[in-house]
Amino acid sequence: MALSFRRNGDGSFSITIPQQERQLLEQLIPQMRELIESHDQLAWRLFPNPYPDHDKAAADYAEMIGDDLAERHLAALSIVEETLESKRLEEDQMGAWMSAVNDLRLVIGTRLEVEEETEIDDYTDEIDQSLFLTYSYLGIMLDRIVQAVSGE
Amino acid sequence: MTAPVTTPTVDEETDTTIDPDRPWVVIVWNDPINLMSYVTHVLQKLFGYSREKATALMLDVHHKGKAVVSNGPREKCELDVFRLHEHGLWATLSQDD
Repeated sequence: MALSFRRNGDGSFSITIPQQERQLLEQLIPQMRELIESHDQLAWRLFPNPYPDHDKAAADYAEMIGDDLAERHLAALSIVEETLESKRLEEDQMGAWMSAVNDLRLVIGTRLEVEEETEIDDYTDEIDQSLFLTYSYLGIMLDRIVQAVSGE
Repeated sequence: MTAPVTTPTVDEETDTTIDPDRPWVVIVWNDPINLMSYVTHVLQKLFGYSREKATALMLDVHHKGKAVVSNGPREKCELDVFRLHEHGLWATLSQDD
């Protein structure tokens, strides 16, 4: 049962995810939710400053959006959690998977300080190596989702 | 965030000027994590760009470090930035020089 995402004729998607990989997502999602809800610095990459040169504008913007951006990130995580055992996803659910998997990559990748050419041997710590494998795996999953969604 | 200002507002800490009459641009910055295929897809999805245009913008981000992906009034650009952030892209707003 290899990983696959396929668009059906009616716009829905058929998905196949090995059980071990579903379990990985099952473990990662609550951790990610905790980071976002507690405004943990590890999740900073999900909340870029749109006005790096204007402190006042940045503050006004942050006040205007309030928790909206965090709620969008959390909503995508919840949809993945709710549909983890599904074999068929609607188009908006597939979009949520794409966003959530990307968010996981962003947070793990910034934690690992990855560069474009980073390889697993660049890490000596076992935990970092394990995280890098997860990061790489999520990259494969994301690429497959993008290919299915954009019709390649 | 509606700001019916007639005089430029000056940011006290950075001393940069926001001129209400100058147009705004939304910039996406390169980062080592986002996949090229994903960035192209998001630009198509959010702005309705063709595959060709979205790919060209993505390659500008990748090779030049950044690209202007949309422009217009400040409120519209702020919404664009929000949607880009929702999709994990590194986007900022600034005024056209």
